[in-house]
Amino acid sequence: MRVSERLAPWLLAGPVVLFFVVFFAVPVALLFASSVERVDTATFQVIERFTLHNYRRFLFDRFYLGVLGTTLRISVLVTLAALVTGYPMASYLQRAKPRERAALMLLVVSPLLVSLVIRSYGWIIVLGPLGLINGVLSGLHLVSAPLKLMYTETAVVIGLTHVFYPFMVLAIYSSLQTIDPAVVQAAQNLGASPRMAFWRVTLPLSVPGIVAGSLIVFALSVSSFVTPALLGGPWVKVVAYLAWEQNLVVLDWPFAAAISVILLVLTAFVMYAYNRFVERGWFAGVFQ
Amino acid sequence: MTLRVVTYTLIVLLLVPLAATVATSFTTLSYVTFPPQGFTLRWYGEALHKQEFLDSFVLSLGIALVTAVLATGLGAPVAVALVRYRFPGRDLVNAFFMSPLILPTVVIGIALLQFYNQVRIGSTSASLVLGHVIVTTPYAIRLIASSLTGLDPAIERAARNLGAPPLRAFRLATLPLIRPGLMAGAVFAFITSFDNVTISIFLATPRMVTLPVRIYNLWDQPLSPWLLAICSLVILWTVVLIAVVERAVSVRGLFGAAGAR
Repeated sequence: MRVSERLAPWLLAGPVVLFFVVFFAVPVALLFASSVERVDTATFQVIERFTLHNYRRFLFDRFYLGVLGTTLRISVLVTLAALVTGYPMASYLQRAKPRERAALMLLVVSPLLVSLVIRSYGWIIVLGPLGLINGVLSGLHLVSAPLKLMYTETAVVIGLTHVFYPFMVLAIYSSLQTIDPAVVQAAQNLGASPRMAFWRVTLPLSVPGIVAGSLIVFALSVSSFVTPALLGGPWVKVVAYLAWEQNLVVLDWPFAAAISVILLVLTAFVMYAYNRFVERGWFAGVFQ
Repeated sequence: MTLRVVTYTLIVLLLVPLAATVATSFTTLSYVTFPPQGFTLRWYGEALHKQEFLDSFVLSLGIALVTAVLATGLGAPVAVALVRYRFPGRDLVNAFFMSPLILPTVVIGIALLQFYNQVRIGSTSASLVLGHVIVTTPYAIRLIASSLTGLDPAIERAARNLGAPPLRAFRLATLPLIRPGLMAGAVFAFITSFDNVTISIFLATPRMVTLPVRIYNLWDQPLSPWLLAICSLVILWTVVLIAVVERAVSVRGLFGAAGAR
């Protein structure tokens, strides 16, 4: 190979790598460095250069652990809700005729193109005290006073499920597509009812898609900020909200940095599982 | 049959918040209630007179355009390097460029804010663009790479053998063929930047507020119909945008190739 051929990829990618190092890798590295500092929140002077104070403060405090618990609980519920509603959608898409499939796919995916903020405000209209759900319920005389739906965990779970739904559908859909229809047909020829063929053949074969979709949705939910802030307000605090609050309201930057690192580690852990189980073909050998 | 009913019910539920926003923006009442009462375009008139929202729209538009150009410009050479060459460290370079998609956006926002303050760049429209470029370039790389993958490198080699210098060979033989990928990358970067709230919240200043952040900042006030009119206009603008680009790039393909997130 000529030298120029060997240099070519670096000539192409090198400057961009440098740009990303300076404006992405360095800021993230500095975040780690900042997370072990300690400032006096009255004077904003750094009083300690290396301390685990911020991490201890988060991990040994009932309030912060409670927020972490809320975040994890919300993320689990969002993942389950997206899975339960995403699976039927994905199966229908897989069986639909190309034209119908394309149209439905566009409808599933297109909300992603509208800003999170606008989608969240839409839910305020649906869930608010004078909103759609309460309007319907009181119209049917099912409730005497409006239900409190806004600024609850339920609202946050609904909003986040809506936001991350397409990722779940696409993940399951792509794993359903890899299933050879002959396998399902064979099960039915051997006497399995369609229901049984689904539970014993299709569902187990789509586990990689379920795992992939669940991990993505969970990781996205854990670190979500805008939707919980708009639908939960200060009443449903999540970890990302704490990080924002410490950074822009309390101005305790090292603590905000430490919370960010905790968030980062949490999602890195989920993404590691994703890589290991899904992309490395952890399931590949299981269902051959 | 039941599956079809479930599917279409879910589709309706998916569209409910957007439909409710548009429907309520025509209400004649001055507060938000469902079902909306009557029909008026009054709130649209009011919305178009909110100077600060118009300014934010123009700012968001500018930032999204510059971001789209930069993300495509930075993404293209990286995609070519990753697809056309096998070199030591290739997997690492690939993972490095995909990492902004794996890192929580909030974390990137906080990291950039603290970084800008430490090196005293401060918040300008340039620092907003930089933040948006970091989170959109990975998509551009993926979309351009996927259009390059299906391409026979022999075409460009033929041009080289016929005497074209490397850049000219690329421009004449490869560029026209990857134009859909470049288009898709630019469109995706534009939309992602225009919609972005999470990065912008950290980098916005009182004088530099993008449209989504401007809308977000009203979170502690009761919803007003004129705000819904603004939201509806943004939805309308997105629908038009999709309709225009759907001919050039399929939206589903956009998300398929851009992968998760």
